[in-house]
Amino acid sequence: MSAAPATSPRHLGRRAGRVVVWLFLAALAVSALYPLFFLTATALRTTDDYRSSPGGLPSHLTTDNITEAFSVVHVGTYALNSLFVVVPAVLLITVLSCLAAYALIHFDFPLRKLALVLVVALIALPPTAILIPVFKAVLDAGLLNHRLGLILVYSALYLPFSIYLLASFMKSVPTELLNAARIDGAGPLRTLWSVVLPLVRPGLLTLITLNFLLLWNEFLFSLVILQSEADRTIMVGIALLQGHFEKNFGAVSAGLLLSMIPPLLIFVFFQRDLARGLTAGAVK
Amino acid sequence: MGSIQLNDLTKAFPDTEVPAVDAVSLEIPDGEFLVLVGPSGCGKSTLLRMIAGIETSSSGQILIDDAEATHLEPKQRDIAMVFQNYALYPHMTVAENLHFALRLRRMPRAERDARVAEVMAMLRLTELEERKPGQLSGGQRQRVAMGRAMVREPAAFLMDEPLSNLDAKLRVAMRSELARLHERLGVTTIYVTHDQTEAMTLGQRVAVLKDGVLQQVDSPQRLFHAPRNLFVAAFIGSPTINLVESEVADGALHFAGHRVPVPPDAELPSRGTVIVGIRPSDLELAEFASDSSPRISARLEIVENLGAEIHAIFPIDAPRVDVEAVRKAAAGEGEAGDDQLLADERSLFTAAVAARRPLAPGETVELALDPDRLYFFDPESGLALGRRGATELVA
Repeated sequence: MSAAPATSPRHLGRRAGRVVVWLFLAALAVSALYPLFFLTATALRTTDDYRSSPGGLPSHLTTDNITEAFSVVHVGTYALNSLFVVVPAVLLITVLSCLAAYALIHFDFPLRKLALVLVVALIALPPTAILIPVFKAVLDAGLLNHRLGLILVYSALYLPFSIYLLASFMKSVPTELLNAARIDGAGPLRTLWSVVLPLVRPGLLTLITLNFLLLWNEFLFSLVILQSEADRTIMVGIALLQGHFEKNFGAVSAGLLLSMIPPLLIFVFFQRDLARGLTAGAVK
Repeated sequence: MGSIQLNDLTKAFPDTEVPAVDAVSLEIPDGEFLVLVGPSGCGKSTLLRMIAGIETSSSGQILIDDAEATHLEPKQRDIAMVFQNYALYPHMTVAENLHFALRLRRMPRAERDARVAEVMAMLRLTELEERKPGQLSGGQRQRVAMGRAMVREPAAFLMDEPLSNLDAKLRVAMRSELARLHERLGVTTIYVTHDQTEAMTLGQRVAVLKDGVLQQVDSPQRLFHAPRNLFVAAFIGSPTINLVESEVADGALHFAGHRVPVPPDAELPSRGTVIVGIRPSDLELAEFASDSSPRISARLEIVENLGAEIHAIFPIDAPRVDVEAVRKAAAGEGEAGDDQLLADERSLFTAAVAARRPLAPGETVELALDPDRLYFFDPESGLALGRRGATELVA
């Protein structure tokens, strides 16, 4: 094919079309990145500077807000509180969903299909709809304002999706491999540990990352179940402070910025496996 | 030691009327190489998986080394299995694949290492030790699968079409390797295949299965020369046996305008209809046969020259023997009639003659047949008649 001369009308038309597409994509990119810029800029400037031009560029940079985020806003304490809830919950969800998905996919028992359908149906349940019954259940169990209460609620809420995700990964493990392990003398748990889990590793890491991100950012159930100031998780803690600290908008912004670090670290750490997990099955 | 005995073993899957395996009784003495053969869907793999313990049995009994094993877990049965797709653990290296079963048995490290090293040396796997299955060729994977079974030194090997994923040339090579291996190890082996050549070359005895029912268990020679029924006759032997419906009258067989005297010791009824079977290899060009043998004349339609042998295919003026059993046997993998490209209601015969002179399509030749080597079957039941039919089912 010979290239059309750079000045031909067809060439110019195509060029204009490309410019429109580029502008559209650029607008999308800006709308996604601007809030992050806003937050970062606010965190790195004084409150007076912010008042003079909110959303603009800082006139000069300061790290005072970050120090204050720890000393005044207590980001460190909130972050620890979050970790104390999120890490056990993620572990519990992972263990339970591994066992459940394994059984649902590779074992035969009465009502197995129904159980699978039920799991999928539960994903569609909006958490907000069951907030009050869940609150009542936690209250009756005497777990209100206990981390264990929130850990159990998180596990229950995120299990259906986790089982579903892992089940789709486990489906790709050929039954013949499980039979081979059985003949080699492995029991069901041993087969899960030594054969199935290594093969669904990308799925497992995807699950852990996603659950960590989702639970770290969870607000509603945390707000309702952990009501004492000392136990507040990071999202709730910072959000509730915004009213009190109207004068210190910078410190709150710095706190929010810092709260993004743990999920970001997890993401960077598992990023390669995550990409593999999300595209698994696309290419054999 | 590893003898295996099956008593009336049956497997009925839910939602199906016909059992996949129907009251199979079979005794496999220690050290025997037994081949289970039959068209796809005949239940041979199900039977093997029941022996392995990864499929439950609906009724009947499995004895391994004279001990009740019907309901034992696979690991308690002391058997190893080689799967059709090898089922190697993809995340483990070759060495780890071989170590896995021994590690589960808590075998001491030194003993394990020695055993794995020995098997890897025997199967030429030592250089591949650190590779993962994904980095191996089909033949190498096959060897690892064999190795995984061998390191365990089990009472019996169960093999489910282990060669079917290899290309034709490698398959032939591996076939003789398997025979040598069995000679060397002397371990009881049950081998499932749909390929009758594999069955005939590997099996000390061959069990022919159709629709879950055992048809005949015999040495390869006897399956070929004394098939118990039409199905076995049609399934065993390549090219497939020629079959034609024939009238018996006046001490002779009449079919398609030909008259062949009934051999004196054939023990056939004096009149009625029988199905006559003629192995392609039992037809010979008349000019090279003895003068006394009966002939049929044939106008050749297709001539396949294989070098040492020529397959001459010609129509016979008689309807096709359309016994359901024969269709199934001849079609093997596919549906009835899959072996035919063109619609043809005539009966086609094949003669496998020595290539002593060239033959051409359209040529008319005289073919001699040996009346003593004819096979007779009852058109209704499909059972062998006369002399050959007298041979009992050896189970």
